[in-house]
Parts: sequence; C-alpha cells; structure tokens
Amino acid sequence: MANNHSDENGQFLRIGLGDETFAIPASIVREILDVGTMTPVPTSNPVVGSLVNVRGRVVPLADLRMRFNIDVIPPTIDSRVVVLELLVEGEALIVGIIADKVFEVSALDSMMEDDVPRVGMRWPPEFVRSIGRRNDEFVMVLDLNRVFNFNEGDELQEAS
Amino acid sequence: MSTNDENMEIQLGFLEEMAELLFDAEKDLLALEETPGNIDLVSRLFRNIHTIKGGAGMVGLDDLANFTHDAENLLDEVRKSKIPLTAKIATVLLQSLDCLKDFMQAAYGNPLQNTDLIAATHHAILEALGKKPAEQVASAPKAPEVPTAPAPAVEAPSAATEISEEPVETRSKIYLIQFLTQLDRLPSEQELATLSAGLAALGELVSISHERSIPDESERLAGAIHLWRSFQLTTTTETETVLALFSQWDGIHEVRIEDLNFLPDAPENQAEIDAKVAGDSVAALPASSLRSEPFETPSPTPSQPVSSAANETSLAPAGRKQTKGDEKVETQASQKLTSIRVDINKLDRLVNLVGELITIGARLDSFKSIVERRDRALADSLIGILDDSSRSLRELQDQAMTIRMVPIGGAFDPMTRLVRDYCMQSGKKAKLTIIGKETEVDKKVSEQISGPLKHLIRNSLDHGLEFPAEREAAGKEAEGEIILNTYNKNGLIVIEVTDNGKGIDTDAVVRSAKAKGLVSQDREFSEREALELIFMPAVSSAEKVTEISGRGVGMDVVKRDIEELRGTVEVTTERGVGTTITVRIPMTLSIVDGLLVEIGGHNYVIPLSFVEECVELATSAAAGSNFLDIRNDLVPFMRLRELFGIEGPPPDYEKVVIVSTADRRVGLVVDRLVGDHQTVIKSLSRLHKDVQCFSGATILGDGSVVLILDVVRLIEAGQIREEHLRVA
Repeated sequence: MANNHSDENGQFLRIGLGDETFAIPASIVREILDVGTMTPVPTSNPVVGSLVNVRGRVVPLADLRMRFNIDVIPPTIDSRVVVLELLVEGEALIVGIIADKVFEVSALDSMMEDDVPRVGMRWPPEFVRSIGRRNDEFVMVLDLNRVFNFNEGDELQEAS
Repeated sequence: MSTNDENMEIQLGFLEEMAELLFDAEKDLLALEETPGNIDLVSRLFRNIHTIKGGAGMVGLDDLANFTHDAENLLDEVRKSKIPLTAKIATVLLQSLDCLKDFMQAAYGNPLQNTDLIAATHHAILEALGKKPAEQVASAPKAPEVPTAPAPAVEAPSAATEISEEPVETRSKIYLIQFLTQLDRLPSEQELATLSAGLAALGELVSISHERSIPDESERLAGAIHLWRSFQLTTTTETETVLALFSQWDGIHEVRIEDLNFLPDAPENQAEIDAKVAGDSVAALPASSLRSEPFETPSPTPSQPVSSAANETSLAPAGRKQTKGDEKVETQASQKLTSIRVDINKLDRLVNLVGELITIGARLDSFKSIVERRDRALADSLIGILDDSSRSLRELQDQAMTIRMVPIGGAFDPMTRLVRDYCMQSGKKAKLTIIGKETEVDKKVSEQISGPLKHLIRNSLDHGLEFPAEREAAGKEAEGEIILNTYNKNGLIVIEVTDNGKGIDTDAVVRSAKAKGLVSQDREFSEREALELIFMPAVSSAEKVTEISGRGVGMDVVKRDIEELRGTVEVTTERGVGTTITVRIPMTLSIVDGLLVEIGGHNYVIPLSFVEECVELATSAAAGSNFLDIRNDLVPFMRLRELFGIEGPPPDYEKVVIVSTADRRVGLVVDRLVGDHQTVIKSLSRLHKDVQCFSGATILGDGSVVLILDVVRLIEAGQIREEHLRVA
C-alpha cells in the first residue's frame, strides 16, 4: 500500500488549498471535474461531508482543507473536484477531493524524501510524505493513504 | 502438452464442479436416509462420487482421488445391498463428504483442516468394508500412489488424462469415432470436409488418417471394409447429436462411436484403441450398420464403477432400475446444456450498468418537458422515442434482475443436515419440513440468509423443541417438527421458522435481562416487549449453555444480519405450543421503490415498502409534543431536520411519513413530499461507514445524488427515544 506512490514516474498533480500547494502522484488521479451538485451527508464526518456523481457512480467528496486547518471558502470559478483512486487497507477506494485551484502535472524540481520537518506546519506532519520544490515554491507531497485512513487518526472522530 | 496455467484452469474447473457434486451428494445422502433402498438415489450418489474420483485423478489430486476411491467402494457395497445403510454408515459417508470438502479446500491452497477427521473417517470406511485398517493406513490419503489398490479404478483416470491431452471442460466427453468403408466408396474430399466441419463445430476435433495402412489392392478382400479415418472429438454434445451428423453415411459406411470416458477397463481398452487406431482392417461386417457402442453394450454406462466390470450379472433387477436412473440423469445433463455458468462479478457489473441506463433514461425523461416548451412537434417525436426506449429499458431491467434470482431452496439445503446432526448428538427427535423452496430471491440474499437461518434453526432445536420424554409427558408426539416456510408477500420474501416446542419463557427472558443489568430492575414488561428482549446481546432463556447455543449470543447477531439485508425479524410464541420467527426481507438488494421527500432543501429517499401513510403535521402537534395521534394510537415522531442538524425555520406545513417495521411505527417529519421514485441502490463508501441514518444512495434523473434513509435504524432510534420519553 505504501508503494501506491512508487510507480508515479515522478509526475505529480499540484493542487492549491488556501495558500498552500500540495502534490498528488499523477498515477492515482482518475479525473478532474468541475464542481457540480454536492449532496451533503448529514451526521457524517465533515471532512467527507458530501457525495458527488462521477459518471453514474456515487463518490464521497472530501474536503482536505478541514483536515489541514485551512480556511474553507465556497467554491469559486477555479475550484475543481479531483477524483482519486486509492488503495486503502487493501481495498480500492474512489474518492473526490475539492481543490481551490489545480495546477499542471509535472515533475518536481527537487525532493526531500526523508526529513519532513515536524515543526512549523499547521497540519499533522504524518499526512505529508515528503516536501518538494517547484518553481522556488515548497510543495507538500501528500500521503493520501494516511489522509484517508480514518481508523488511524481518531482525532477526526473527536473533531466531528 | 498443457502448460501449468492450463492445468490450473482445468483443476479450478474441476473443483468448481466438485463443489456442486458434493452439494448434490450430501442432499442425496440425506434423502437416502429417509428412503433407504431408493436405487435411483444410490446410483446418482454413486455416480457423483465416482465423477469426483475420476476428475480428481485426472487433474492430479491423488490424495483426494484415493480417499474418494474408498468412499466409493463403501457406497458401492451399499448400492449392491451388501452393506445396509445404517445411521452409522450414513454418518461415515456424510463425514467422508466433509473430508472431501476439506481436501477440496486443500486443493485451493488452504491447509487441511481436519487431518484427524480424515484419518478417522478413512479408518471407519475401511472398517465398514471389513478390511483391516492397519494395512491400509499406509496407503491412506497421504500416499500419492496406491500400489496395492484393491481395484484398478485409480488407474482409469490417469488413462483418461493420457487420452485427453487438450484442456477439456470437465463435463465434456471424448468420443472416438471410427469410419470404416469399402474402399471404392470413399467419400469425396468435399464430403469429408463437410463432415469434418460439422464435427469440429461440436467441439475439439482431432482427425487421424489411416489410408497408409490400408492394404494394397492385391491383398484386399472383396467387399471388405477398412478403417480409413478416425476422429477424436471432445465435446459436451450428446451422443445422439454426434450420430446425427453421420446419418447420411449410414448404409454406405460403418461408423463406430465410442465414448472414451466410460471405458470400464481403461488400460485394456487403451490397447484396443491403439490397435484400432493403428489401422487394423476389420473383417467384413454388414456395411450398413450404424453402430454406437455405448448404447449397444449394456454395461459401460456412466454409473458403472470402473472396478466392477464383473458384477452386472448379480445385479439384474437393480440394474434395470438403474438404467432408468441413468435416463433421468441423461435428460438432466441435456437440460444443463441450456444454461451457462457466469462469473457473479460480471453479473453485478451488468446489473450496475442497467441501473445506470435507468438513471440516464430518467434524465432523458426530464428533458422532455424542456423540449416540449420550445418545440411542440419535436417534442412529440421525441416522446415517441422515449416511450419506446423506456419500455425496453424497463424490460431490460426486469430481465437483468431475474438473472440474479435463484430459488431460495439452495440456502435451505444445509438445514436438513443441521437438524439431522443435531438430533444424533442431542438425543432429541426432530423433522424439518421445508415449504416454498422454489421462492426466488436475489442471489446475494440467498447467500446471506443462510447464516442467520442456521442460527434460527439451531435455536429452535435447542431452546424450542423438548426431549422426547418431555414431549410425550406433555401429550405431544416424541418427534418435534420445525417448519421452514417461505413465500412472497408485498414485494418481500417472508421466511417463517416455526417449531412446535415449548415456546419462549418470557419471564425467564426478563429475569435474564434484569440479572445482566440490561434493563432496570423494576421495569414491567408486556409479553411483546419481553420478546423484544431476546434480540438484545447476551440475553438467553436457556437454563444451561450447550455446545450449540444458549450462550446468549445469537438473536442479536441474527437481527443484525437480517437488517443488513434491509429486513426485519419478529417473534411470536405460545407457551407449550411453539414459537414462530418471521423474517421479512426485500427480494432484491439493488433496486428499491422509494418515496422522494425534501428536507432542508435536499432530497432523500424513503423505501416505499416501509411507508404506511403520510399525514400533515398539525401545528398544534408541532409545539412541544412528540407523539402523533393516528387513529387513537400514539405514534412517536422524529424531526429529521433536527436529526440532520439543519438550521433555519421549518416550512409552515410539514409532512409526516409514517413508517413501520413489523408492528412498530414511527413518524418521520419532512418538509415536503416530492413523489415516487424507483431507485438503483448504490452503497456508501467505507468513508461513510459510521453514518447511521442512511443505507445507501441513489442518482436521480437530473444527475443529483440522493441519500436513502435507513428506516430500520431510524425506527430503532425512535423507539429508544420513545422509551426515554415515556420514562421521563
């Protein structure tokens, strides 16, 4: 499962959440859609608080901004839904995430694989797999399996 | 020869077939116990076991083949009435089937579970056969080959392997077809091509030419016929069909068809075949006879054991009946040809796609009114097309759904064995009557209902039915009865498990619940409320814990399993007379007729099967009260707005949808009723598994996603609130 990101050929989709830029391995991105109708799921964890229709399939929509303590703003003309195909606990999981902005797919200029600084980040450091650089800007490479493994992080249940 | 992959495929095919054969065998064996001496049953049973043995040998599962061989021998003795089918023998045979299942699992790569049971059963089989187990133990399943095997049977399958080099479908047969003719009547090349093509269409064809071995002109006898061509055909087609292809050659040539699978003595015959194939010319025979050996010779029918070539004479009366049995099986086999096995995942995919089509259809429909407003004429022609397409779609949906439907009987079959085994162990006497086996349910329902049903039947056996002495003392028949009755009602499958035992002691249930601190000590319970308690975890009315049930785990699990199928469970009981447990489940899991409602600007679906009625919420009732007066019955109601945390004032006239399961009713307050809607259920992702209020989601015509309310859970929640409020 951890190898989910290893076959990515170094290509990443960069997305903007608030002022931050995050990178997602391009290999797990299924498609990028405009923001359509979102159906709220009452009583659910607000991080995955709604559902969207992706070509006849009901897909949960996650708002990572909530998970990373980034201000949640209503969708703008730049907002997109990025549909990902993950492998969590050995099972395929299709999930959409909402992005304030989507940049292009590209390689990163450099990557610090091992030493993710534990300080100075607003979001839980375990969600960041590594930090890279692109055009003199820091980019957080997300560990999406962790992000969507809700059993591991019980703080979410408490938050909801 | 075959690659490893092909071998694996053949083996998997065999294992799949074996599972079915075992399943049938167990059923037959149990039936046979009821009607000992039923020669049809014994024959079929024997044939199934024999097929397993042959197949196992062919795919190289030697342990399995060897074990089966001994079980087959025992069965053979029973078949020949040399050993009576006592309860003990039946148990040994049933155990053998269990062992075979274990072997089967082992072939899938799992470790053997019960080596002890296998050894014990093998011992018991040999003992029953009157053989000294000691000498045989060495050649018991572990040994790959049985050099001193009592019959040449084990060799037959290996011979079969040699013959069938191609990966063959396990049910297919191999025919050797020999074409003999006078040489001046050889068919033209074109005729031969037609014939070959016809044969090739039936299966895999290997054609062997013998022209070179035909003697020189000078040595030929006048009118002699010679073998000039043979075909080896691997096919699933019946012999008659193959024969039909040769009908036009009848009278000119001699055609012989042999079914190689059923050769009674493979090694010897193999030699014979080899000799024939090698091109021995055959002495003059009436050239017109169209022969088909399996039909002409009485012995090599599929039911015959490979090892009992000599026993036909001693079996004359039984033999005749057996032929009858064979005919029946023959027709069964040809019926089977009209169906094919399909991967269930493909089926699910198909049903999903149909669901998506329905959604698209609904979307097209909503387009209709838009077009209508703009262009009347265009709308008219569009409506015509849409009507046609929706009719076809509806039919497609119905058909797709029926593909998944299977008779529920399959889920009931293990129950007979369960009751039998329980009675053997406990000393109780019980018979199981099954009604409505043919009732059709979704395949998934049929798979998932089996577990809870087993639990219910065990409960009836253990807690319901009394021991024979007790029953007689109470003036009942010593043998108890459990009736498993299934029927359709209102789009639901109803399954009733009824026993004529002692009924549930509701006082004991209440005592148990109180003792475990599950309910408050001073609470009074009505009969019905007390019965509800048995669905709580850890409540039991059983005085003592047994091997089988009584630990107080059970009914809560049953209830949960049934609710997972969107169903309900209900108990009625009468002291001294018996208990009935009624399970109601929807026929299919993937489509639901729903009532579309609006709450806080979003739509939700309430499954129509739970909806009793809809009423307006009087403003007076809205203030403070939590109960509605529905024809003098107080019904608690829940405001879904509150439950869903929707802010803002509700509309002036709210609606209440009264939903019920069994006889519990709850009102769900919604903003507005939208209408009926047939929906394809999509399950929620794992990210939403903690969400209690919804059982799934669906997609509407406009493409929007709508949640489906989990009425069973909501009613439960309402019930808890009701109790809370009544106490307060």
